[in-house]
Amino acid sequence: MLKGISIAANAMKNQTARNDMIANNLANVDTTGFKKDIALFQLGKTGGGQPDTTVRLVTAHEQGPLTRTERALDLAIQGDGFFVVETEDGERYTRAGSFVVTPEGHLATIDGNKVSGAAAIPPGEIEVSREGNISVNGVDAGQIGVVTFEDATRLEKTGSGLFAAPDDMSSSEMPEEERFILSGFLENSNVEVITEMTDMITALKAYEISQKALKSEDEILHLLISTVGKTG
Amino acid sequence: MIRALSTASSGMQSQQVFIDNIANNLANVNTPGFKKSRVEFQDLLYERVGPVGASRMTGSADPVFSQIGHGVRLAATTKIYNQGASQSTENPMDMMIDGDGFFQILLPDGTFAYTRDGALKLDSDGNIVTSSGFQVEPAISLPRETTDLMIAGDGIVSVLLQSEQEPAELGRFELVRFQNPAGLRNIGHNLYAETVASGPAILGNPGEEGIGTIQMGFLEMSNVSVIEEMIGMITAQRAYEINSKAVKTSEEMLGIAANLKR
Repeated sequence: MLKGISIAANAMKNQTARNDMIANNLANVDTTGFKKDIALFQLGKTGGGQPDTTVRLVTAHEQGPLTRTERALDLAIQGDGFFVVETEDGERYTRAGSFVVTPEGHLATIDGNKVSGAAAIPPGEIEVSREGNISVNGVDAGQIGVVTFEDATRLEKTGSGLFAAPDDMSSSEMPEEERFILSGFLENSNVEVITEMTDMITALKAYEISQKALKSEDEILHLLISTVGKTG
Repeated sequence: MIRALSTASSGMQSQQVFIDNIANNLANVNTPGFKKSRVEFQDLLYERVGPVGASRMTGSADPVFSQIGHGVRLAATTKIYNQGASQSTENPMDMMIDGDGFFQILLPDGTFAYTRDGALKLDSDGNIVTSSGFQVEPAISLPRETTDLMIAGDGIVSVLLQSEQEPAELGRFELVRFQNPAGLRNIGHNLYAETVASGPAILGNPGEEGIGTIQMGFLEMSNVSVIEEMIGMITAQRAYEINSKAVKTSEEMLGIAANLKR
């Protein structure tokens, strides 16, 4: 009997986590290069034969829509690949390509982290080719590093649009012919509002139903305690 | 209590800043030399959670773990320095920079500021000043007997004096550029101040090394695109609304949880 209560409570916890995730997706509906999370429910069999549903939140690395900005250092990757960013905590990866040039001439993210691959950039007219080759006033200024991963879903989000790779995972440099970098564009968040809103309704209803199940379990338990064994 | 509450409120706050920025862009749609700003959002930190809901350890290491985010923050407002449209004014004191450069302005406190607004004027002493009366650097002053003013694309200022046949050269405009103009600070009056992020001003002559040429009799209009801003406004308003729904949903969930206890 107590099993029923814990199953229902577990379902409520799962839906809470799902709702938290949806809120984060919705909060980032206008965040450049943001990749939404999706909730995967899984029926697990654990000890005691009691089914134990778990929810996993996995990042969906689908392409986000591209917006034209006409700023040369706004870079969007069409298809696979991540820009490589050098932070204090090591190498990070991002799809948010609104870059700037620091006073020292480094290509950097808006947080001031260096983007790997670019040489020193003097002031002038900047152009970035499809392969990520930078040129300033027609003079070559390095190539922006773009890497791919075998399984991007294993990347960890570290905030500020950055991803970190777990220790046992290595990146591989993307071959030039597969690169598709667009200068003057930014990749929008891949959050779809309609999906998130319907999921939010579903999560709320599932939460409500689980609560009802928990309450009726509670009532049955109450009846059991108060009536069974009553004599006369 | 519920992460979603604060997450959604961060979303609402960000959308509000988005609207604030659009309002400022739209307010300056007719300001000469105005450069629009863009807000940039970034996701906040993530919390690593085990498989949610698992009441027992399964023993095997998870190939994928779950992370729950905490919302969004405003990372930066970036100035977009695209060239604005040019407007012919036929006023000889209106100047437009066709290129990346800025005019250098000497402020009364002795520091320099920079502007793209070329609606220049003359003060009572014949000095070339901005609309707000700040001196353009290097200082150029026109003699009283000037009948005609000419400013060449390379910035050389020459005047025709009343009694003369040949134009006399008075000086040359200098322009500055920055390694990272997005790092300049707005100080109002269409002026920018240099910062650590922008790097020091790099002085140059008009027409050299892509710094831009000076077009006399034209003004650079604001580079704000009304349609773009209106679309942004619609998006921001809806996003704000949607985030408020997330607040409401979380609130309902809390209510349901509170109802558990008889």
